[in-house]
Amino acid sequence: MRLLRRFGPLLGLFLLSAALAAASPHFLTWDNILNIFRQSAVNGLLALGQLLVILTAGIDLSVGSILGLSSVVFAMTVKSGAPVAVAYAAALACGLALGLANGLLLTGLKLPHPFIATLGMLNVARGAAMLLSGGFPIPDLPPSARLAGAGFAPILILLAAFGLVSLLLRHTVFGRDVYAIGGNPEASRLAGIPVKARLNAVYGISGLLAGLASVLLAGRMNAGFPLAGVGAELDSIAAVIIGGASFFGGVGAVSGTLIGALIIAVLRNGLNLLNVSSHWQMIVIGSVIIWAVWVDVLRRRGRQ
Amino acid sequence: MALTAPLVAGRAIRKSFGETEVLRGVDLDVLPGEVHALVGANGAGKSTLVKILYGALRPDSGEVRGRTGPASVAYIPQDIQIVPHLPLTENLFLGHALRRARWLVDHAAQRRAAVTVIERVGIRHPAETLARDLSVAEQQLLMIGRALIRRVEVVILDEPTASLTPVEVGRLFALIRELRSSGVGLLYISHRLDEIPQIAGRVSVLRGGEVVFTSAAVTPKHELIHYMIGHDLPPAETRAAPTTLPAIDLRDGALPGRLRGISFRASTGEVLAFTGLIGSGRTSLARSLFGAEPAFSGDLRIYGKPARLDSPRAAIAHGLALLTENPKEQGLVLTADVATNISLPSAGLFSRFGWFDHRRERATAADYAARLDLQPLNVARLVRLLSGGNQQKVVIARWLLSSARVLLFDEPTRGIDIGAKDQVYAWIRRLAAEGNTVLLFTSEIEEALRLADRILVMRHGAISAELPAAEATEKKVLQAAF
Repeated sequence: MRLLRRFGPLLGLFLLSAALAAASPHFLTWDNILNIFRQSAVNGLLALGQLLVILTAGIDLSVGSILGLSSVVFAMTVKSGAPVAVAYAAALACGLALGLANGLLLTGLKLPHPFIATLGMLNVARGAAMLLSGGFPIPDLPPSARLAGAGFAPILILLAAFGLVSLLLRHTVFGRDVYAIGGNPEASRLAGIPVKARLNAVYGISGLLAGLASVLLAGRMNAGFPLAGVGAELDSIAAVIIGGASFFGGVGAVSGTLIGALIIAVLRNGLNLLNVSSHWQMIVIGSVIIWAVWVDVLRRRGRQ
Repeated sequence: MALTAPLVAGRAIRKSFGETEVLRGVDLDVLPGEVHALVGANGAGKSTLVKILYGALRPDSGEVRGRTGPASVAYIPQDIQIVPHLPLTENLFLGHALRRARWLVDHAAQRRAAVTVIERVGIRHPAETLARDLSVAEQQLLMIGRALIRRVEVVILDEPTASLTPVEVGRLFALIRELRSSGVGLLYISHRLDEIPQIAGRVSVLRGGEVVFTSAAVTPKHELIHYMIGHDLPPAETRAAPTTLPAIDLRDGALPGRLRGISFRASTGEVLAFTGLIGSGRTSLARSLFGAEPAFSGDLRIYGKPARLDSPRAAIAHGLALLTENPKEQGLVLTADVATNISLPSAGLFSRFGWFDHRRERATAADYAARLDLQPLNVARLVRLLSGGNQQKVVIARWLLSSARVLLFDEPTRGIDIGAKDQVYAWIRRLAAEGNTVLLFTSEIEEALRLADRILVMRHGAISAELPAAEATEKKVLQAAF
């Protein structure tokens, strides 16, 4: 039973892949597998930030909009003639700053729930992206600005980010504090954990990862898009929840989230190969989310 | 008595969860107009028995009968379950609305009935008052009112006096007597054995899933305790005399609206108790000293050095520890295991260059758990699976590990049974004997009298009396508290 808890999402991923491999000869090809990893990279990075936030019993609705604004900032900086390194730094700084702003709205202004701060930021960042870009994509980036989206780069970046956050959560005091805050914020505060600083950092990291995702996306699409990442926050939440994290905080692991992101990417990819319309894809993914959480509920009930 | 049929009767009730047999053939009944007290240590099976009596659980074998057909029982739990944002009337009729024409709520009839019941249970507020504006004691009366609205025959009260002041207890007892005289049967569960002869007719002791004793409620307390724990209590702890080395010294402590002019000094090795009624400021003072109340001001010295405690973090750095009133809500991270909960404020000890050493953390936590005789001794166990007494041990272990020297205990024995209570008392005395300073914040005067070297009585946010242990009596404390 404990094994099932640990490897349930992984088992789901294998069964799903096996079914799709049987249904389509194109699924289990080297190219397609690489493709799946590439497609999961952007959502994977967003989901990683989302996992940190959900572990603290919060939610970050703004990651999609931060992704969009960062991609516009990135492309405009490139186009302005500044060195490409500056553009990368600008995109990451943009994400980090907006993420920290989310944290400060929560801990400084004491807004009652992160839902509100990040819902506000979802609109503000999207509006800013539209204003800066005039509402149009900013295409034709030089090759050096497309590096992060090219070849194996997205996969390597994704795995590196997962490795780092996994170390952060499992082997640092910061990681322990994140789990403790999600489990019981008042007990954590009374145990001397700097709860506000930790929350600011968590939302900051979530924003930073959205900024990182934006350069991957801009590189792959060869453009900055003001509308990039519309609705992406929901996919990232879905990946975290499918990956077995508790919506109430304190429970969840990086490995589960990676598998959650892969399950969503595999579903999208496989259904595309089978020529299933994107409308049906939405219905399928929605059903998977509900099913995954229902299995979790059943398991908890079984344990009591 | 034998001529009246019981309002609810459990016969030969057995119940197991997995391999654990919780109830082993229990007989228990409540007669009309009777208050039947039920006592037992934690884990004796009281809550399982109660759930079976009011129909929330099915017994494996045996049966529960009412006077004529199914029993009509209401349960008033320890934690009050009302809807805070709704008026009293709505709370009284929750789930049992009076109807007109099948689908419509008959507000006028509900109001008439509510006004009568509100007066009967002794709530002095109009029916439109929101439930959240009542005091805790009145909210409890409201829950009893809900049972009366449904005209149940038996009311089960679970630790009803745990958070009441003596005056409120008096009011509750008056209501219980009134219910008794109108023929309602009551099952009264309490850890406070002194109350039982005041209010009950019979008392039953549950131990290890069996009723080991039933008799008249005037049974002496030590006899009840003997039946509850299966042996007599050890003699009171011997105590070492406190030193005169000042550990904590506060002048003119104030928290706007709650505390004023608080000055006291406690020495190393001393147990200093703060007692007083609910709302007298005990918990506010404990939290203030621990840096959890930012608006607190005062001239504080710890081991002679001036200290500004503006956060719990700063307080911990000065060697303070707060053992909160309610470990589940404010002390423990229930999603985490025992080791994590023990090392929570001391995580830095196990971290080198940012790398957290899990193995050393587990080993150290296991040492401290063993010192406190944690049952079961497994630091990988989720802390929410432990009993209340063992959860309290986890919190004590946490602060021993953090090398705290000034320990603030806020209601350390609330809701834990007599056996576990004695262990906590022994630990408090031992911590003091080992050179720590204990500030004990308690509403139980008996606890203060038993443990403390000195007692400070609080009233309306100020200290109203200081009594050395040798001179303190319950009467003197109460006089200063009111």
